[in-house]
Amino acid sequence: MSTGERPVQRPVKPAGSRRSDPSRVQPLQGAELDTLLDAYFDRTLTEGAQDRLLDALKHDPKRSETMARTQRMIDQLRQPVLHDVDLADSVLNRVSHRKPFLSSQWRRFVRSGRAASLAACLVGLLGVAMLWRSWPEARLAPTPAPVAKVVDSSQAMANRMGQLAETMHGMSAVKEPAAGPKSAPRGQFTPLPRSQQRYVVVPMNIDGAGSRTVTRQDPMPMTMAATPHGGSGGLVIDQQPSPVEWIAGWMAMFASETRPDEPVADQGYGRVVLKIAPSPAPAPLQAAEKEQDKGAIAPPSRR
Amino acid sequence: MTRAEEQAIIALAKAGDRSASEALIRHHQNSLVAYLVRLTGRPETAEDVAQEAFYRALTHLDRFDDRYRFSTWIFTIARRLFVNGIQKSKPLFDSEVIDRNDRGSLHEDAQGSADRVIGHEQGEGARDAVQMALLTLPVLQREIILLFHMMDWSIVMIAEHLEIPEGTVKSHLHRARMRMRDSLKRNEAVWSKVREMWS
Repeated sequence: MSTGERPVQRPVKPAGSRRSDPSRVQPLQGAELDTLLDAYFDRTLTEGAQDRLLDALKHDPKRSETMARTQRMIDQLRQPVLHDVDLADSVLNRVSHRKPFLSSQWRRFVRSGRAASLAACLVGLLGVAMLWRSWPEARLAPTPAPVAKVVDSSQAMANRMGQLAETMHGMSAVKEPAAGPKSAPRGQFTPLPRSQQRYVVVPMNIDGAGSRTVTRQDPMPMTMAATPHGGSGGLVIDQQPSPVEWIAGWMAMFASETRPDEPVADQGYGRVVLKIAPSPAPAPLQAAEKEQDKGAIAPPSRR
Repeated sequence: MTRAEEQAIIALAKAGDRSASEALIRHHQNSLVAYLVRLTGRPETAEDVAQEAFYRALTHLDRFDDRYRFSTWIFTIARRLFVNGIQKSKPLFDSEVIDRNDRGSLHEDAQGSADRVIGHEQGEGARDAVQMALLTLPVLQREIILLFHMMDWSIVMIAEHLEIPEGTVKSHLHRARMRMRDSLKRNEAVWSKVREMWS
């Protein structure tokens, strides 16, 4: 440069032209040739590249020998290694021990049986759907009643009983049993606001033994909360308005034994009877026996 | 067997048809056993593995996924059985390997199994040599080279079958070919020396 010579301008090759130009004169270099060889055996070589490879191998006896050797090796790998084997009988015998094969007649029978059971299931589901369409209020399981809220609201309403008594009177009737409890009955119906009127809360307090009957004329679901002070209680629901409601009521029937001072809550239709039995008082003989037992197990007094 | 035919046969076999199960076995047994003979180097082991693979496939046909071919499934089962077998028969301690190497039994095993595979008395030295070269490869490379060059599976299929990336399959394939080529070259050199000694 410093001598004043003019720099020789060389034509700029576009990137990748060496690979893409099929008419180039330069022979393939070693690494590139190896790559093409690998691509040939990987079956990913294009037709043009294959011609180039074969041309290049003509001038490279070492690599052409490698190629021939590899091709021979692959050909030998493809040759059959064994005489024909027959595993069918042994495998099928083992399989039939575990899972017997079926004749075509049996297969048809099994297939039709499956189809019949599927059809029966579909008919059953259709029947249930039709039943629900006809009686949308029908329930297969009792709707869980919010016991805590019912008890709270019943207590709150019991406090306001005096104010509500007049309102209740026109909407429902409380029927007193012949032999009721000694204290005055305090069971009342409380209607909820019309928009939320899904059920009616019945607060009841029974101070002693006896039963309480609450009669509902309409089929509206009814939730009942009662606090038996002592004894065991049970709720019996009868006179259901319709068979479907009877089923729903039967499902919802509450008849378990309750402990003293435990609130009872359930919902039902029609006439609801709450029965409270008095707690059995200890008999004098039992009390005497208890005293005797105490003496028997007491430690001997020291002298 | 086309895909539709295969699916029809599998449906019949699932329903309990003996002839359909038999057709499945007969169609796939030769290729599976040949592959396993090359892979294990022992015809009896190959037959045992193939038999167990068919038994498991036919008793669990309800688990077969229709998106795949039956051949892919049976090869996968056979491969798992083979790999499990290798793991079970692996020596517990390295000292066992060293002992066996000292006695030369490892080399004898490989030589013996290769002989059993092909039947060296028939003068098929070339195939003996190829089997020997194959047994020098690690199991994964052996599987890849056999599936690609012997069973004509594509690289994508092999990658799915072995649950490895396609690039890994390719690199294993190149390495396996190179190792086999080198091994064959060494063998040829030894054989030419032996021939010189005998002549």
